[in-house]
Amino acid sequence: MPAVADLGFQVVILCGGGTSLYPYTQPEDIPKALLPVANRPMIYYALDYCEKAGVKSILILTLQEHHPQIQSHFKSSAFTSTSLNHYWKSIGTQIEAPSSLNDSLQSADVLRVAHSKAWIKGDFIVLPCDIVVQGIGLSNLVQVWMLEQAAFGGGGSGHRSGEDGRDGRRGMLGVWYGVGGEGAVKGQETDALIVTPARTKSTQALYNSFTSAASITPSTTTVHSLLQTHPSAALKGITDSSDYPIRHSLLSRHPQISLRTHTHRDAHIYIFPHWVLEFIRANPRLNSLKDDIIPWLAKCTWQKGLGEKMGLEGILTKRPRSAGNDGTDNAEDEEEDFDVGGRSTTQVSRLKKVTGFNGIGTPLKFASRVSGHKRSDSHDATGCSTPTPPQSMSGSFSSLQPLRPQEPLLNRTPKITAVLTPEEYAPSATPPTPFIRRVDTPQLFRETCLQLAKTDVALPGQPATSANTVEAGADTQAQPKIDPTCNIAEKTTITSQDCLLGPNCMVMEKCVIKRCILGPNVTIRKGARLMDCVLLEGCVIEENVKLDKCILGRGARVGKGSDLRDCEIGHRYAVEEETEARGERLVVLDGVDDEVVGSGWGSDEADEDYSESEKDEEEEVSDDDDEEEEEEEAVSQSKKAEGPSTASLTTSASIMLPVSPAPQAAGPGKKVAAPPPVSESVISRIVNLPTGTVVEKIPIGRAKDEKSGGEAAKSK
Amino acid sequence: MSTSPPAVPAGATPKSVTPKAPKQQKLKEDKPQKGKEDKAQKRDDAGAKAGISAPGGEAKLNPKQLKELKKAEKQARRAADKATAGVAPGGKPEVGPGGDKKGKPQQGAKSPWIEKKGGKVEKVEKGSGATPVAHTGQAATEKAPKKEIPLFRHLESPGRKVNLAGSHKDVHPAILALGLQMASYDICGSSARCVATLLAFKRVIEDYTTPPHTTLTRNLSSHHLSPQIEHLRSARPMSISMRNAIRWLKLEISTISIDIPEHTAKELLLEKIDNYIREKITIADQAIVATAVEKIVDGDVIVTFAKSNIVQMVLAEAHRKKIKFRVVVVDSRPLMEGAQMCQALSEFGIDCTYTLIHALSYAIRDATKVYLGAHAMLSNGHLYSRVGTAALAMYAKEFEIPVIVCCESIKFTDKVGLDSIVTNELALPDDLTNLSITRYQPIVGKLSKWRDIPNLNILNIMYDVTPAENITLVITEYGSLPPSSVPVVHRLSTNQ
Repeated sequence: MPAVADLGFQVVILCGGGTSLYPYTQPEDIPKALLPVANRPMIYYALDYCEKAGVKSILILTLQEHHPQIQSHFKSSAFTSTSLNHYWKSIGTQIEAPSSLNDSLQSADVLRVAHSKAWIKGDFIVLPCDIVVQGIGLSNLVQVWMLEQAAFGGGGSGHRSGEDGRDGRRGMLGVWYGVGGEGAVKGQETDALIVTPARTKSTQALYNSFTSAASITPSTTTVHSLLQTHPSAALKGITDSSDYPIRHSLLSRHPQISLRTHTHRDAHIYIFPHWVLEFIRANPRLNSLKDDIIPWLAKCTWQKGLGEKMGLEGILTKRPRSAGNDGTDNAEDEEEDFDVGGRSTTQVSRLKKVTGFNGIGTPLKFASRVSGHKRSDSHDATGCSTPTPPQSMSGSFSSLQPLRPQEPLLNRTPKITAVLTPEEYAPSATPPTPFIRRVDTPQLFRETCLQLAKTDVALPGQPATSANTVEAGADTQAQPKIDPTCNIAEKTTITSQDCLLGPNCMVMEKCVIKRCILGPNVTIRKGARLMDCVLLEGCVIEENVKLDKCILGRGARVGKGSDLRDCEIGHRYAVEEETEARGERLVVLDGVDDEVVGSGWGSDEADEDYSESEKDEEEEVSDDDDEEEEEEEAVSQSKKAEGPSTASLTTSASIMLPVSPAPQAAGPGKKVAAPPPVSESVISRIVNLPTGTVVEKIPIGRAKDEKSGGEAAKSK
Repeated sequence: MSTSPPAVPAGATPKSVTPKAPKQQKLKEDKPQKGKEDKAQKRDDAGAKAGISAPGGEAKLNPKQLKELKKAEKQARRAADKATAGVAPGGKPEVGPGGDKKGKPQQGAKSPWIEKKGGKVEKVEKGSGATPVAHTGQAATEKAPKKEIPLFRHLESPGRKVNLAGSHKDVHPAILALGLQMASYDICGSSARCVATLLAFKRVIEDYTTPPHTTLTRNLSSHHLSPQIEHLRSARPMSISMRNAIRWLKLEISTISIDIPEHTAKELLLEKIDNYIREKITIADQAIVATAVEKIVDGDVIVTFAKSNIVQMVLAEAHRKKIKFRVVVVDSRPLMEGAQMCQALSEFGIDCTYTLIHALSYAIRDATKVYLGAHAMLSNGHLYSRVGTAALAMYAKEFEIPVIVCCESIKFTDKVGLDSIVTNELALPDDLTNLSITRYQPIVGKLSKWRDIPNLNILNIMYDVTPAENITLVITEYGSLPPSSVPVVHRLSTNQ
């Protein structure tokens, strides 16, 4: 990687448990961060994203049960042989799993913990571990942030937070991506948001140039200011009728708004100034960044009095000194005088009513300020890390303070910049639409994998051989889509442009493989037909199997002549011969084996098969060894696809409200079709017995509980 | 065309000396704007300069060659204009030698123009076989329909890229942000840019650690600050005040004793920067305000142009002193800085009138004083300020209204300028074609396709020069003085 300028941000990658990716991430199994997406551990995408932007400091926060695995992964040869290794070694990295973290904590809680441990030193960027971004660089986002939010005058990013709220700057930036277009998944989570357009310069900054005549086409990613957001699912709660309520105060401050209800989703890429940590600490009831922090802060920018209630006043005006800072930033107190924003000819300065100085009196001021400065220096000279007592500081400053008039808080509240990608992902558009996906459901997982297989962009984690010459152009040179170690028989059709085959795959004759991703050591026997499938490591597909839009977990096995469609097959599950299934989820249930003791047929079989297949491939799959010894129960579980219930929610609209007087504006909200009530979905649990099938119906709630520690624990 | 032979040797021969001198000479000749011919000729000079330097700087060949070149170039240009496709695909053989030449910054800045002309020259000269064949790769990167105003083609191209990913690896985040903010004109105005730069440099110095085997004095300015400065320069040409401040800072760094431990040295520097800003800007402003406000009396109608922070401070202070006066803010597109000032002043309670520069004759009618801010005060007493200032001053002179310039001494320079052509800054033409008054959402005007219209050029310059004759008074922190005393003050302020 060529040397890039340091952006000055610390990146915090949140690696959650990945409960929503069930059954491919299970607590005792592979952590979500290491689940292979297009044959690369998921976290590589986030790391690669950081590497391209030249991030110099990364903090990975994970759960305790995953910590050892993630920790060891970065030391394993699997990682050290990749091009990312060099980068990883060259920057400051930290992997932490505080004991107070558990699966039920949400993103803001996690940051609160991290803040209390003083792991986050300054301004920071939050990335989820399940993000895949192509086509829009982190440095471009930072560029927009710097333009929109960085303080004037030495206010890049860093650990100083003295300029918060000055000139209404030092706010946040978030990314919302369009969920539509190629490879869209129906019924996926979306967020409703109200935005107001930002300056064209900001959009141009995304495209690296102020030259372009700001031709904003539908395929342009645009920059906005966020005013309100909430999950689209919450629309039901807000809109009892077909109206969407919008506050008068919002419209009177921002007459030109655009409302999107089902077209975008929060990418969970946030650029935060350091004060947000203080805000999180001050509001312990806010649990999630996406659902609490961002929406509330967005509201603070236009709702009168809200900022005061949330304690923003204190956070923005006081200069927080995070523990562990060196004493250097007391010099910044002096900067208070140098009002760069007010001086700038393109900004409106705020003139104070009170006479700040009276001509002749100025030298006195000067003298007093110098003495104040000396004082702060003496603190420095002593070298003590204790911060200057706030009293004495503010005491010496109260006399100088009138130099800057105090604006009402509402005007000082920093804004949230929202970068919105086009609604539809279209790789062929000009300029190309960025590809952003969060991989947090099995459907998204599959679609994203397949999409990645199609792109020609090099996926992260190249073998290190090319990494050493990476400066030359590993960025442009995509890795071979079919690994050279694969053993592919003749008379087999593999569409090479959209398939990805991992090392040591074996494909026998007369197979048809289209748009598929095969992990390492996958065996496909004669006559199998695979379309739009993702097969993780060590799967075995027997003869004449037909798979369509399926995901197969590690070591899964599909018996002869099966015909599966839209199925999710868990790790090490063995599908019987001649099975036909549509939209089912087949999982080896570990948790319930006590209840169904004695019916160990399926699991034993599966495990044996798996270990056999291991031997066949002569490949060590060390992670799984311990689990194989467990007494397992094969229980297949079929579940109605969640799609239909939420699919009808995909109304999308962006409206431009006219500049209208406030009273009238209450009504004209976007009509949102109320979604049909979620049908009383029932999960039927099929116990797979050799003699027959026992079908048992359990309510969805219970099934979820069994699956994991509850849906609430969102993995971020 | 007939005047060209004397001009050419003058422009070509002393090129090894500073580039300023020949240009001024040229400009004096060009100044009356004799029309296209002259402009073309001037461009030829530049082209010739580049062309000559290639064979090895033999001045004797010049006159002959130049004539040929000029003719050839003119033909080429006409052909190119007709074809619209523009520049010949061939590269520019002169690039290398031109770049080698002493590495003067101005030369570097000019290179895009020179390159292109080189290409044209080469096309004609091919017959003689004297010049090496060009590399086409570079030519490809240059866009074919490149538009330029002949008179201003020596200025740096305005199409600057903003790209963090392409920055030098040592550039500090604060500088990255500052560069962006300056390129987008979020931070605009001489003193704001100067203060912002110094504050950013404070951040740079705070985060600086001396690498082993060297000292802060030796390493900091030459190795660590220069990429930062270069980055700022690439974001937008530096203002005079920034240059002065940076020159001062470098001097300060070089005078730090090697024996001082790094931490102390950094502390010392930070304090010095603070004091410098205070002394040169904050306190200077207060002194200027104190002086300038005395000139405002009840019943005054004060005309000012665009936004100058110092003028705004003066007016605010006068209002605080309960002086009854009226302000007419004259503004111009595309930056609309006056609107910012007008908003601040009217919110403050001052009686304001806002108008654009085309209504100047009206605005000046009942004026009693004109207050102006400055980008720089040139050594010959001329004022270098936002474009449009000169027109206002000219009107004021005509109507016999005193023109008062408020300018901190940090903006004084030893440069001499006679017109606004030699030194100026080009801004994006697209800012003019965008008709949006707010900077939110562009309104694409009819001219927005100007790049596709071969015979249409758009000029968006930033500054102009107001002659000293049109200036009544310059108020600095050293007091009020006539423009002719500018060099004295400059010497005073720099030799301290």
